Amino acid sequence: MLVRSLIAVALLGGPACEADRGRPAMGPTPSPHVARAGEGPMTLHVALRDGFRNETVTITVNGKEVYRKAGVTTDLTISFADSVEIPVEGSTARVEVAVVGGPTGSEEVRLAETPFVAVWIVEGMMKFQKSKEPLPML
Amino acid sequence: MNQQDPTSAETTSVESSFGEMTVEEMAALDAIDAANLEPTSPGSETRSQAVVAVGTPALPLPTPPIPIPIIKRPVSGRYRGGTAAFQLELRVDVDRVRPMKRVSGDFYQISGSTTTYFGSFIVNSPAITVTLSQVVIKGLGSYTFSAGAPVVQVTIQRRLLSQPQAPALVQFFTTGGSPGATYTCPFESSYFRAVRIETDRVSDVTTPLLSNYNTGSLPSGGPARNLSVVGAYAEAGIQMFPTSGADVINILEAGNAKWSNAELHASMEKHFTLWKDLPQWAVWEVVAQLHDLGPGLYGIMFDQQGKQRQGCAVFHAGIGGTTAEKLRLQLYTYVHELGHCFNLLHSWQKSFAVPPATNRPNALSWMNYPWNYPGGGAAAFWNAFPFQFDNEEVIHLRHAFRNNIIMGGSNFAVGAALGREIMSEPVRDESGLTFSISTHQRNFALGEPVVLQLELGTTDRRGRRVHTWLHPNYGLVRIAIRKPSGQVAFYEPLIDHLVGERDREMAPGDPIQDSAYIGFGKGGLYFDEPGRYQVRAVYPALDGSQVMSPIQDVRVRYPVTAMEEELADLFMGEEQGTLLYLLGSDADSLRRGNAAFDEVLAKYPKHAMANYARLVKGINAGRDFKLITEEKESRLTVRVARPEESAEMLAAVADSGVLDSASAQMTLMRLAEAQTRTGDKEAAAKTRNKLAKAGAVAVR
Repeated sequence: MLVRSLIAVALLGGPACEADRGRPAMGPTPSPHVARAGEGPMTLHVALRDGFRNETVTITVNGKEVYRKAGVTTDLTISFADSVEIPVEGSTARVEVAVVGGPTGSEEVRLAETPFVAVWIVEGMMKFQKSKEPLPML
Repeated sequence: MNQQDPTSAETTSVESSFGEMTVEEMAALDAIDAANLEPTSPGSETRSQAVVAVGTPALPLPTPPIPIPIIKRPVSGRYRGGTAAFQLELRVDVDRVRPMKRVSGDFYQISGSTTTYFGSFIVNSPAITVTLSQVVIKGLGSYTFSAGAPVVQVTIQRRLLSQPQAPALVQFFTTGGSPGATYTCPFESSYFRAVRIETDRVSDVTTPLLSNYNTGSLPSGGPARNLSVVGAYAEAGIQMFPTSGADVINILEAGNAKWSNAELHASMEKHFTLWKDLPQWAVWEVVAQLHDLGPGLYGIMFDQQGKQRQGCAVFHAGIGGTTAEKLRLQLYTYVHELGHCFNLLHSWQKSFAVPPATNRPNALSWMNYPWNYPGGGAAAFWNAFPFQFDNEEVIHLRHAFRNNIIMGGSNFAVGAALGREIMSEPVRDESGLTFSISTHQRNFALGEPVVLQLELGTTDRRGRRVHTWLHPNYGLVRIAIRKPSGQVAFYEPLIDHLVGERDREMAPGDPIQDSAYIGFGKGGLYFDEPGRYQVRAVYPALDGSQVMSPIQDVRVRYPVTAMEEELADLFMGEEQGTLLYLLGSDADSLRRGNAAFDEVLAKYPKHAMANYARLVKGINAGRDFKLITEEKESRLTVRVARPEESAEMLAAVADSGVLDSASAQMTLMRLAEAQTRTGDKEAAAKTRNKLAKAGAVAVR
């Protein structure tokens, strides 16, 4: 099942959260609220796209684990597995994604410019794709 | 002729004196075929002319003749023909638009009033020989079944445009060169496949549905043309027939104005006028406004349950509009989602297919993501995109094995051919008969006997004459078992029974029933590993129709406890299987099987599985058992029945409730007999009352 997880707790000081499995599938945010630096927390959008096959995945932002889920699987018809939105204090974030027993990777994200991060695993390699707008799916 | 191999035949004489073409000649042919013209200048002479020149005496002419273009019909397209037993749909792909230099085909088995898909083949690297008069294509085919004569040769006469298209002569050969079956297949269409498409829209879509897009409106990598969805597939060789069932779906069906995949599937079942949960060349595309995943989801092939790939959706919240960019995006999305219905994966994820293929992230294809194009993103993609599928995708669309492409065939991303296609649905069944199978429980312990109930009925109000040999022991009804590994085995009874005629008239509502233990036969133990099995039975009707049952799922559970593991071991031997098949025996060759059942009764007398051991031993104890021996002059010894032992065991079985109804009734009958023999008339009468209440079911 495709599940979008909303992490409602600010990263600094908040506990690591299990993804909210009960919410309906969502995906790229229709009207992403991307606050400018200085206006409070900005939202980082991480989408897990191709290459996930029943994986346990963790996402860490600025050293804090914000996502851990087992059974993450890509729907090959839309190349989408799951997504998570994370409020972040500050203008940049270090995003680390790890597949337990599989590839890992990290990327520096400037939230005001590219708040959307798509994570792909292609031929065993993890790739990050940053963008200003959500990447479409079809 | 071997009726189970459409490539085999008794004898056929074949002329095969064609030379092979070099790559240079193939290139020349490509150039010729692109224009559908014979070469007209000396500099472009090809082997075609050379062949003619060799066989034609040269006449001295005062002046050289002016070459006249000879326009011949292309030969590519779909042909169809057959024998009494098999129909062949042939696809020849050596000229016309984007020839892929391949030949492929699907076989359908005809039996009485039924036609069933049998299997497919493809010749990937044929030798193509062209003369002025004919095209010959020959090569070794890959098959979904074990073909006795796997070499394919297709010969097609070349005809002038003024003449009708010639048929294709298809000849099969063994690898040693012996001729096999021959088919003459008249030309059917210049398209390789034909698919019916139904497009519905949802009431809240605010922007116009795509009609077509002029690919010259914006920079692109191909010639400008007005292209529709139907046109895009036509360019790939696929004919799409729009149905007249277009419908407007009330958005209230989506509940909250956003569509989930489950809602889309339910809507497809309701609004797709052609929908059936079986493979067919029909597809549904719905134009909706918004999916649960938001406007970033442009489209989805949502049908990933049951028979998959029959429906897809596009969402105008993300792609709707009338600008050239939006129309281009609509065309791309509409065609892309339908591509998934044809079992095409995204360009960069081909390695996820089963079996895997090479990823092609650089492909300028309908199946890519423009914004992921490695050569410069969306702008670079659109500038170079010729609005077509890439070559490998065209090959799939034109030549994939039938079940790997037909909607409702293999699951999405599964392209492997697993063998004989008895598990496929009949494409036509006008037999007037129904045949169903069932098991009395959905799952079984490992080692537990699997018994199948079989029921034959008719839908013909006038009634039908049928034979009543339903049990597979009689060799008429065949049972296929697909194991968890995907391997398909045919149940073969341990002992063949030769039967004569046993026909009767059957009316609607008056079915014939039987039950059969199918756990063990000549093929050994058929349910010998945990997992999901699929079982299908085929009833051969008197008119030759092959009436297929629906597929019955059977799940064999993993043993969880040490006791379950031991019980599985005690039941899963060849001797135990034989004893279950025979319902007991005194044979010395089966003593280890009997010992295993004794151990079951001694160690686990209260376990449900122990009742199968009691059944076997109880029925055997109730009969006089004759043995041939060398020791006595008469050579015959008889172990007399032990009715008390039999009655005790069968009474426990009858009370256990573990058996299917037919086996339970048989047990009651044998129990009553044993009780009568012991002189316990009162108990026998009670048992017969129970039997009468259970109702009459055909029991052998």
